[in-house]
Amino acid sequence: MAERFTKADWEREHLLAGFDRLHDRLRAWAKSAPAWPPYDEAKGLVERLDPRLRVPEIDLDRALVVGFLGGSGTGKSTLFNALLGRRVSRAGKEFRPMTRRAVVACHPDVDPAFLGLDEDALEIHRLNIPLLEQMILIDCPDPDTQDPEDGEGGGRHLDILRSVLPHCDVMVHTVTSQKYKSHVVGQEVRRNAPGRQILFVQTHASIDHDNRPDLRRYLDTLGLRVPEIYRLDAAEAQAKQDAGQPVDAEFARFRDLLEHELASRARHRIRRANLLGLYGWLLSAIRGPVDAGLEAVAKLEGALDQERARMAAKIAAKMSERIDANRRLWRSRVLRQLNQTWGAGPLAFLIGLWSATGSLLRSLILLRARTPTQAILAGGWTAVSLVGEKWRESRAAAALTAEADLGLTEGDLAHARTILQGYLNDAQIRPSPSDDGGDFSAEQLATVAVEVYRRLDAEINEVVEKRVARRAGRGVHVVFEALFALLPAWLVLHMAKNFFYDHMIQGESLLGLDFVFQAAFWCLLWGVAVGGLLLSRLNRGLDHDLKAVVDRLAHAPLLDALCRDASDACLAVRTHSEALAALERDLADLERRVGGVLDLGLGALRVESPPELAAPAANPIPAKTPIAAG
Amino acid sequence: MLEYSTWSRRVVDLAGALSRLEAEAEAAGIAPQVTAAWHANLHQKLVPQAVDAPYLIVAVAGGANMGKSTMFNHLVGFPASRVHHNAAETKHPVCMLPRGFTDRHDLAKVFPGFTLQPWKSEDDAVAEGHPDGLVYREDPTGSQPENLVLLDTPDVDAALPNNWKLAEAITHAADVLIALLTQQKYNDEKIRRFFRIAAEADKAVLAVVNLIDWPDDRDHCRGWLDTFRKGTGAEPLHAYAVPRDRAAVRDNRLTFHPLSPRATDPRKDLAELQFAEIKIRSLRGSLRQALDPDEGIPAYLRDLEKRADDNRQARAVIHQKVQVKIDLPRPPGHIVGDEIWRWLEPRRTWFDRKVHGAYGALGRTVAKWLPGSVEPAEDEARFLAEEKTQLNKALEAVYHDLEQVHRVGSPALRQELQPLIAGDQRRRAFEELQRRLAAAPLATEAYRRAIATRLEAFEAEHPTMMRAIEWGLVATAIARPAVTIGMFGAADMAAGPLFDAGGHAIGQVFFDVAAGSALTAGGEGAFARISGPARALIGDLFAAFYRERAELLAKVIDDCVVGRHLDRIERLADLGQGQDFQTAYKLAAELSRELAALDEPALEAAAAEG
Repeated sequence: MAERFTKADWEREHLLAGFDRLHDRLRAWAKSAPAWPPYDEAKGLVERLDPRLRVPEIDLDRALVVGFLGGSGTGKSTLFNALLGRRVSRAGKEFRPMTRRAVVACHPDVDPAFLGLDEDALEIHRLNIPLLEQMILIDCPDPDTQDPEDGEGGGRHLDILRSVLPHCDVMVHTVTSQKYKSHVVGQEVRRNAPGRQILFVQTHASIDHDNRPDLRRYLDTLGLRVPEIYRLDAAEAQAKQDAGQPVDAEFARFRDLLEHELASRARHRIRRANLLGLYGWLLSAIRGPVDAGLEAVAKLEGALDQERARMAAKIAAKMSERIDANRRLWRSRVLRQLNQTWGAGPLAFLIGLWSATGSLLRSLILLRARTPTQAILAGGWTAVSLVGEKWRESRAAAALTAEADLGLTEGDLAHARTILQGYLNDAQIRPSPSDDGGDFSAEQLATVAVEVYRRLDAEINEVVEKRVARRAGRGVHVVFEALFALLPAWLVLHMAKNFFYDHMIQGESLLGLDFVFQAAFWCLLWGVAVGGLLLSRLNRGLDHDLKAVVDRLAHAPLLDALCRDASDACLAVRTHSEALAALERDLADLERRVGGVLDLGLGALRVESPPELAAPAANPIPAKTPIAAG
Repeated sequence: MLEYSTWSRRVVDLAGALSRLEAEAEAAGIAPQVTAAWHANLHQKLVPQAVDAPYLIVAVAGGANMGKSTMFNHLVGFPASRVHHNAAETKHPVCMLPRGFTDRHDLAKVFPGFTLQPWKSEDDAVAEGHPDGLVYREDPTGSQPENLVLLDTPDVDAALPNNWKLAEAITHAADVLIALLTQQKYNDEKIRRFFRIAAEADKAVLAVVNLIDWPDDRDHCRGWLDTFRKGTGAEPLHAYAVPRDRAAVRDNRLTFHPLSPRATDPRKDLAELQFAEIKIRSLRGSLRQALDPDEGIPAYLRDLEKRADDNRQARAVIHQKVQVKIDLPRPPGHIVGDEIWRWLEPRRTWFDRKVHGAYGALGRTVAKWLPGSVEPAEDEARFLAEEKTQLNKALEAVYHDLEQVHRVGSPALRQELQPLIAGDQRRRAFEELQRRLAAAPLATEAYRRAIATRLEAFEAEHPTMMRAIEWGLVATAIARPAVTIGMFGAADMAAGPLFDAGGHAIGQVFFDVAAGSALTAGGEGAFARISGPARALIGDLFAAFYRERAELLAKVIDDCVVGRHLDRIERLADLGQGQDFQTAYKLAAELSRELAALDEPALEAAAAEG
């Protein structure tokens, strides 16, 4: 390659890469969309528009295609002829409709085959004039004389119009005083506006009133932005050209715009703006139903949260009840923990003894423990894991136990399930059921219950450990051991004095065995008193702490697993909608780099407000068939 | 000739029946077809003009900015309707009445459905105002023929649908149309269709080709009129050409070039029309259009009938599919027992009461320590919890069934059921069920009365047996410490009476109360020896209890789940059988037959001619 790669080339390549990326990402987005009706709709749209969205098209050096659209008798053909400077398309008022086929005017060098139009539908005129060097003009049939319902008589010129317009880069919309508010024509313009620029022209300037202010208001209600409306008289211009006189200023300005501005200088810019306009329209067409659908999804999520909260509240209530009813169980657990922490020492020994008997009792209780909560309160996770093992073996039985123990009934599940189903229907979400029996099923609850129990055990353990560590640490241990040792120490002193002084020196009799027994009894009693003091210190407020644990659990996201399928589906929908927002940002970015075409006086569909919102009353076009893509 | 008096009577009857039918249908959710051609023909034309209307209504009609108001101003002789250079500015019909018209006729009856506003200035027609507004004025000049009512109408093709609606409605009332045509619009589809409908209703048409270059366009005019004739089927009585001339418009002096042999000026030609003939033709044409088998009243009636059929089918489907079976739990034994004791109380002897009281106290104390025994309160709590579970599940089943019906139902039914099975509605129903369950006492006053009634009936039927029971009580007072009456005969319930618990005609929800299988409480079974009637009695007493409970759910289902909607389905289903439907059907059929008989000779004549 001999040529150098200039800065402009770099910019161009960069821009094209941006378009490529946008296209790829849009396709990838559509392809990976989760099953949800608004996304399915979006998929269909992207699929339909794909041929027009593909990037290489926009920078082809092909001629700019300008189509004429307007009501019958508004002077499309006259303007077409006047621009060409010769009578090419038959114009006049003898018949309506006059133009029944698409009349294409192009340069002999240009091959209009890329339009892909049917031979019957058009007549081609090859003219060697400067205007056509960079441009193809197409005079189209009118949209307002054919009855879409009967279709006979007038031929199919409406169909021809609709097959031609998708190929146009720019539409010239001609109106007259009589027809500028025509409903049928307005709808046709709206239908074909996405992805192309529009030039608005009021013709018959010499005989009609100037209706441009009213026209501008009307076009605004159609959701079109209108920088400029030309007002000219093509018949007069034609006559003047025939007579060899100069045409009037407005017509000359219009012709100039087409020939010099649009066709040669701004051609690429227009194509890019068209493509961006099309993307913008497409994304807003996708966005509308998605946003509407997301409202229902948000409602579904709210309902899920509400149902979970309802269940969590029930579970919490049940567990607090259990904590109140099983004081002995959790107290014995504190004792055991204390025993493990303290290790050696006389009081520790005594408490160990106490705990051992307690354990024996506890194992008896465990045998009686009918529910996992009781088991946890008493013995901890090992006990529960045994239950869990069993649950996994037979889910149905486990579910029953879990329901009863968690304070939930099958009725509560049925309640939640039914409401969830209703909101799922509303949001049109069909979650793929996982193998655990579906949302709010008894099986799912059993799985959740095991998790709840595991957490409950861990939390209780932590509470007990912390409490023992804080209220019965080393210092407290020493103090209590010392306190406990006071009595035995004094007794030993007393016995030593009795033996060494009273007996050996004074010759008095030794203390009898009954003293030893009595001393042992009082020591034990002293130990119980000290131990009791210690335990009451330890246990004070423990029920409060345990209830706080239950409360924490009730607010923990433990129950999220209860309707995982639905919330996963919601999340997928949401995530994908955020991906759409990212696409919109990409598009905005690209738009900033390309720049607009407003300076050229070209109108187009307003992108910033979705067309559905802009013209709700006059919009019978269903979103599914927004344009007749070629 | 169609006898004027006989059919005008029937047309009024038909309109009355249809109005009532439409009101019924609207209440059931079918929007009235106010925009349909038959509706306008019937109510705007036939009813007001069938009885007494010795006048012609002449309407100026056409597309936007074609010069309708200009033409109208020419006809009335002064600027009555504002002429504006912007399109679609005339938003209300303007009506110019001959002098003294309001004394002879009730204007509200001549133009039903319009909000009548007296004319104040020529700007009335272009003012934003009531969407159904019609501006009227009596001819101030006195030159208007006394049996001619002139109308200016909004456009039929611009982007304001309310304009078309008004134009179409008012045009249906007209007998003569002044069709405005221009070279741009004479063959537009919208315009063509509008005048085709008018031509089908046999309205007389005067064609005015406006905004032309005279005389250059003279030859074109004929071609345009031919196209108009072919496209609409209208045969203009007269045709005129009006050149484009702004000054003439401003001064209200239009030039009319006749395009048909006898045409002079529309003002003059209108006054010379053959009133009676045109009137009858247009009335008959309206009647024909109203009775059009494909788009008129017969089609509407068929449509209603089809909707009724759909809904009947829907009713059957719901009836068939939405059924729940509830296994209500074993009731707390003491509920029924206590009630029976309460009833027996005044009938018992002092001895019996004392002994039973003493033993009862003893028995309760002993029972407390027996393994497997339950406290009444605990028993109640168990019952309530289980019952709640069952009822919740039943409601789930109802929703499941409804969803099935929704999935396979016809579109009409689906639409009807859609709001019913939405999440919010479900939540409300469940909450209502929980609320009512919490509020409902176990043994209600109604239940007490039911038991008393049943027991009294039983006593009346089997006095000896009741005596025996009373004596038996005395006898067993000595023998038993803990026998309670509530538990006997429970096994009889296994057969379970099938009863309907809903009060609603269609909301009947059948509860197969298979109660007996669970009824093994109490355990004494001491009264197994009691013979048939008594067992039936006990069975009934329990059934009454269950009915109370099941009714609660049935009421919730009726009130919150389906009730109101089923009501609509019900109403729609009955629509096709109502008196009004039959009347309308009969009258429409009769009139159609007579009309066909009238048209036949005319057709034959035309065939013979052609």
